[in-house]
Amino acid sequence: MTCVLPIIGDDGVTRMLRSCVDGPAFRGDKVRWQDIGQIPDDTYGAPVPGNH
Amino acid sequence: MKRVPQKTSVDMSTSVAKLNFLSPVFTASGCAAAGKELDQFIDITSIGAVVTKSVMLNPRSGRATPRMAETPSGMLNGIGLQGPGIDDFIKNDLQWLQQKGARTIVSIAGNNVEEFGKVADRLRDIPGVVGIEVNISCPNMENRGQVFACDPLSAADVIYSVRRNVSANMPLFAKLSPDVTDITAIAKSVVKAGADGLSVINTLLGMVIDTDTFLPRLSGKTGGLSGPAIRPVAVRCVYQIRKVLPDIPIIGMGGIRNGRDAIEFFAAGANAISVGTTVFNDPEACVRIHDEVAEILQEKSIKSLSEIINAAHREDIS
Repeated sequence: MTCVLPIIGDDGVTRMLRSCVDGPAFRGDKVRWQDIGQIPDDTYGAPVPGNH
Repeated sequence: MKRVPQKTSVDMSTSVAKLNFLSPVFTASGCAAAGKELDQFIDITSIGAVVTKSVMLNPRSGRATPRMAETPSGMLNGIGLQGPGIDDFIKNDLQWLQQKGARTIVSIAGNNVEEFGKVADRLRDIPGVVGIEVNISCPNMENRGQVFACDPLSAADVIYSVRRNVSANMPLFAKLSPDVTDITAIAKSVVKAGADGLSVINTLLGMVIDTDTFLPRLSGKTGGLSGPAIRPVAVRCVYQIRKVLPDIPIIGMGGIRNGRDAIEFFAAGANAISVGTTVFNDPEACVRIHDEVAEILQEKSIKSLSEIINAAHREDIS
């Protein structure tokens, strides 16, 4: 499903990170497990209404 | 040890929009990010150029997963132009590329004509940028989401906007979509608007449906088809454009995975090629393909790559 996962950074901001480059393993408590498969609204660069 | 092209007696240099490259092999936008990952495997300064992933004005998270699906002889992707936004891109990625000494063609995208112009403007006087590839295969959010690349006037508007916002001597390459009835009409239109060269082709719009869930495999429903499955379409597009625009520089791309594939593009009229999807299973592909082309030309006692460019247009071939 491609490697991106919503990961909470040290700055508290969620980013979609590539496990192939930024992983391969992430700290479990930094992964937003319940949001896998979606883009949480507060993600860095999350879709803006009106843009593609 | 990072792979570099082998020494050869064949002159592999090429000229594209007043730029001279020692190798005619570039990365394809979106398949090598900004070069860092590939530089673990090949010396990215030894290939023609790094064409970066399309960058927009603001940061973008991209689409939810799944973003990719395998298809027969190809791949479907709908990443959603994930990226850091132009300012972070300049500060981090471009600075890294410049420090490495890589020749860089920056691919830019936008939600509307104005955004393309703003992104281009940020690239003024940035060292190391040898050209800009304009990814016009984006939906125009001010025209019901119609893709710029599918309409000659919309495509030209984007190129006008970018041209106005960069220095006069910055080479601009318009990346064309094959999802049109007549690609030569779009090609003529963007060249008239100020494109110095053409990148041919972008992915084809496709869809894969999961036969267990009956739902589209990609979160974005549709995606761009790439890989060997699209190569004959890409070669045809290069050939058709070369026929009507004999002097326009063309960077050919679409499913190139070895030297013989690359030679098809050169013969059809490409002055350089970009290698994309195959990089996912062979990160050394750009250098390998350079070597394979050189080897094939040497076997045929051809001394220079330039001898085969446009060869398929010879009058003695019907």
